[in-house]
Amino acid sequence: MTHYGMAIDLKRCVACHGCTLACKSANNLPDGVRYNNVLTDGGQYMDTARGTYPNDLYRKYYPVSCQHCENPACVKVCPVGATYKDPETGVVRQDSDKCIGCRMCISACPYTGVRSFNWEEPKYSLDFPVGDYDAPQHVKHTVEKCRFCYQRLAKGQTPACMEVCGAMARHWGDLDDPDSEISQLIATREWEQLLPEMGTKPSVYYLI
Amino acid sequence: MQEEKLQKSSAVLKDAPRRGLTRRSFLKATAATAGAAAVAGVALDTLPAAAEGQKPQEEVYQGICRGNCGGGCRIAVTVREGKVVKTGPILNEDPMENLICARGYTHTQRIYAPERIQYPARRVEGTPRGGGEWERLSWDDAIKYICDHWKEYQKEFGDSSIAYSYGAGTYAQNYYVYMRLFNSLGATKIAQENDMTMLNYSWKMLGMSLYMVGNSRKDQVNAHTTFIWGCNASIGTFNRWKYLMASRDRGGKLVVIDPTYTVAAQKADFWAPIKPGTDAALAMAMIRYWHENGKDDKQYLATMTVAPFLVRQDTGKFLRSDEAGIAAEREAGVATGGGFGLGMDQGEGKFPLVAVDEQGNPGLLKEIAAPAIEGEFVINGIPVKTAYTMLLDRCDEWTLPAASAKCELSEDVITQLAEMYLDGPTMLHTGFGIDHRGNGDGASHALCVLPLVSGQIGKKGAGVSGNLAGATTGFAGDNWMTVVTSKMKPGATTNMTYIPQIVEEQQWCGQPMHLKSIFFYCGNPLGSYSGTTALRQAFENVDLLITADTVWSDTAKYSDVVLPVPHWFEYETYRTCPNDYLDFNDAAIEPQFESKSDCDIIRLLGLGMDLGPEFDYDNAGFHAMFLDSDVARDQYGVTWETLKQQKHIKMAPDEFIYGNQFIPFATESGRAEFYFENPVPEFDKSRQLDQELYALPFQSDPLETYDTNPLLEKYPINLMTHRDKFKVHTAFAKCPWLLEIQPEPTVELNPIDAEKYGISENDYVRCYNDRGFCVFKAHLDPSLRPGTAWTEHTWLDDQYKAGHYADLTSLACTHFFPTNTPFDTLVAVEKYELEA
Repeated sequence: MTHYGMAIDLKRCVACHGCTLACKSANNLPDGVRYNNVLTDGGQYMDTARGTYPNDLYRKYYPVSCQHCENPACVKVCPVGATYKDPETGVVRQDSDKCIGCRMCISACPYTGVRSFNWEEPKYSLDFPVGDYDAPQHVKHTVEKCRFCYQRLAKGQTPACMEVCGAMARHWGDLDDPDSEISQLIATREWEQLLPEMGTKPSVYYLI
Repeated sequence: MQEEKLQKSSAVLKDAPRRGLTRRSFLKATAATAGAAAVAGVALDTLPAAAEGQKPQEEVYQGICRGNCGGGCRIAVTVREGKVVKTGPILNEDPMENLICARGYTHTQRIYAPERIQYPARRVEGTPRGGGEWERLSWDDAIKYICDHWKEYQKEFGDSSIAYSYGAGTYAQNYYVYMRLFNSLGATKIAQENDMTMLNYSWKMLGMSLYMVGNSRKDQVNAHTTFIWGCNASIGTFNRWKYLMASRDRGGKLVVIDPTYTVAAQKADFWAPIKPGTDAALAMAMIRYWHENGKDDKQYLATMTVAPFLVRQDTGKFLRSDEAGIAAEREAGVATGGGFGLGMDQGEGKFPLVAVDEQGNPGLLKEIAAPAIEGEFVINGIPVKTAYTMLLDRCDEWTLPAASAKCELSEDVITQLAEMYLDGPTMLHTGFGIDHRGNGDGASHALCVLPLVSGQIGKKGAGVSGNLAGATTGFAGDNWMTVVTSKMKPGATTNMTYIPQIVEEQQWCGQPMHLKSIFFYCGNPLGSYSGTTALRQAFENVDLLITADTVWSDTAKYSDVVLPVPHWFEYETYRTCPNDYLDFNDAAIEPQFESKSDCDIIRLLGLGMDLGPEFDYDNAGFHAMFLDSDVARDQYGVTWETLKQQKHIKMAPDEFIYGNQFIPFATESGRAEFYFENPVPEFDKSRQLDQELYALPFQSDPLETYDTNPLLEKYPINLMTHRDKFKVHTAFAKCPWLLEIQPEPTVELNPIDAEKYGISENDYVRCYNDRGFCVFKAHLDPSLRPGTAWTEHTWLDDQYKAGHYADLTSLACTHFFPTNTPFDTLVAVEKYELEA
């Protein structure tokens, strides 16, 4: 069994948004759709801090996409099995052929913003498909989210966001393999997860 | 041990709700970055993705992303059915070599951008500049139109009436070919010199070497302490960020000196929130502290700098052997502080410089075992001091209390900074924040002295880095004679900041100059330079503005003739800077529309100006010429053809430690020349500089943002820019994917100022001064020091709701190494109601 996961080193991340754009490009994402976002924990707008100048300032970045939970809230509520956990990889997949657009998964998922719903026919700034030739389809009235670039995993590649992180903050691998780089990092570094109290058991670790 | 760590991690997991994002703050954070509306796009039917397993035909090319961000990333350019469909990283064996940023993924959007210039065009006669009415021209007609006018101007107003100006819009060999043309026309060069004051200082003092003034970029990992000073490092030097992190992983410390709580400050071990424009005082206080406490590196100063040379107190010049009554032959290449090293002194040579031994006896340096670096003497009746004593005298006023008052840092903080700098090896990672203020000259000088006095240079992990070093200066094997032809004529050189003056006076440095035409390429000065209100006014008196560009930039829109240039990945070229490789740039697709490469344009203009067969080369022909040198062939085995096959050839060593006995400074003396005996203005030679002042570092007031400026009553906010991670100057400004994340120009204000001026989060505000105005969306950010605000550098004209940021800035500069000084800008801020 493989259980893919990510570890993101928040000490290194400078919110360059390279991961967001790698994902956007590889998956031919429609306008306004992003599977990954880099959130600022600070002030009210991207990159702003909170606190008082100069001695009490706080700003931290969290790149956030689907957490590929071990105990995914979304899977339990999907009436048609469109969102499901891949037993081979641990990836929480999303099948646009099956999705009926009920958006129960969006309600159930505690990680606001990692899913999006195509209310309209998806629009694109270019009039031909870009990205991976086997990028996921984007269908009106269906829900979309990060699938750990399943088209790439199937070919033995890593997700697009993991290929090159300019800050070398992103790590990827098999959480079930204790010798994998990611398992080693989690064993040796302090980390946190998003909303662990929700019991979702995310596969994304934030090294702090 | 392992178990212990696991338990520790579990404890963190349990604690996570308190330690990290709570649901509430998570949602809040989500709201903070969401909200960017979808941009207008083309409505399409659902695009069917190819079925899994059916891989269509794809070709992958090597492109070089080259907007002079300092990255120079190699990009995998994927083409399907004749279209570029993906741009991503090229992976290397060493992951430290892998590099791409958010922008690098968006080239499909730039290549197929609606704002591409598609064909040559001329402003419709009788319509105003910038009016947007264009007449399509054939290339033949466009070239004839330009050349006919140029020939007339040359005849009536002289060669200098034709000028050219370029920025850093494409950092590859293709842009040097323009020099071949303009050198042959004797045209006037209008240097833009963005960010160039500190670079020029560093070259003058430390010499231009393989990695500019520093060690190889990879040497950063060996630094124990890194001073990030005047550099928004996570953006401005993003390509080095992982090296900074690697040094930290090895136990290194990051110290940030910046008025703003940048991301680098957020990540740093120590942040000193210095008052803007006071960097020279801090640096000089550190020097004074080191000397006072016997912590200056006397050995390094004596052996590797001009510290022991004697300066005449009557003239401010170095004392030479003939003046000291010491018999010696003239020599070429002795310290003058006046050149850029590398054998500039080609004349009869000068008499050697004089030092004194520990007993105060004068002699030639090579004959003195242990020269004195401090003291004042009378030699042959001439009062002299050592250059180091001159420096210390200059620093003397910056006691801890004086610097503390000036920099608004406590004496304790300044002492800590001075001590931390000595906890080496220490790297000075500096950028362009300092020379973007009008008093950046004396401060640039002061910063470049720090590594010398502390001895934190010339060894592993120590020296100068950031924007000043670590990038290569290019491939020494390039055949620079390519920019020269048999028709070479000397032309004048000036700087953009002087254009209004030249247009008004119709002269430059005592020679008549009647600017009639300016050819802009590789840049968008009306968007990314300063003082654009004054520039546009000056351009009113210039008859023919021509812009060659890929997109309708502000400058292209304001021109009289535009020429379409392909996107970077549409023609072959190569680059040798900023990385330590020679890299080939494939033509992934043909030039689109009617665009022509720079080389093809030069061919047409050269032939059109009757310059003959020396211009009758195609793109490959010019590039082959550039690589046609003995060094390239014999030392590297490289020609245009072999480079085309190999694509990625290592050219500079990973191990390179600059500024020691093995690799001395590339100055005339081989020493770091921190004392300037003859400072002359880089451009305006008709001006007399204060020789005494400019000989050494100094703290002066900024030109506009100084405390006693009465303008502060009207314009109380100091508006600065920050390098934008979604743009390189104005390049990428219209990329729809990036606009999703950052949709419009913003200005960040400290909440104290926002309250004072009645501004709330997300209000539109109008910033204005006597020069212009600009409307931004306001965000409250306590990262900004009260009294300061910042916006992104820079958007295109039509992306601002009204006005333009660059119109707010001035062309004011100092004259030793002038650059534009955009941070030196005062504005008023008021709430702005958008018209419905």
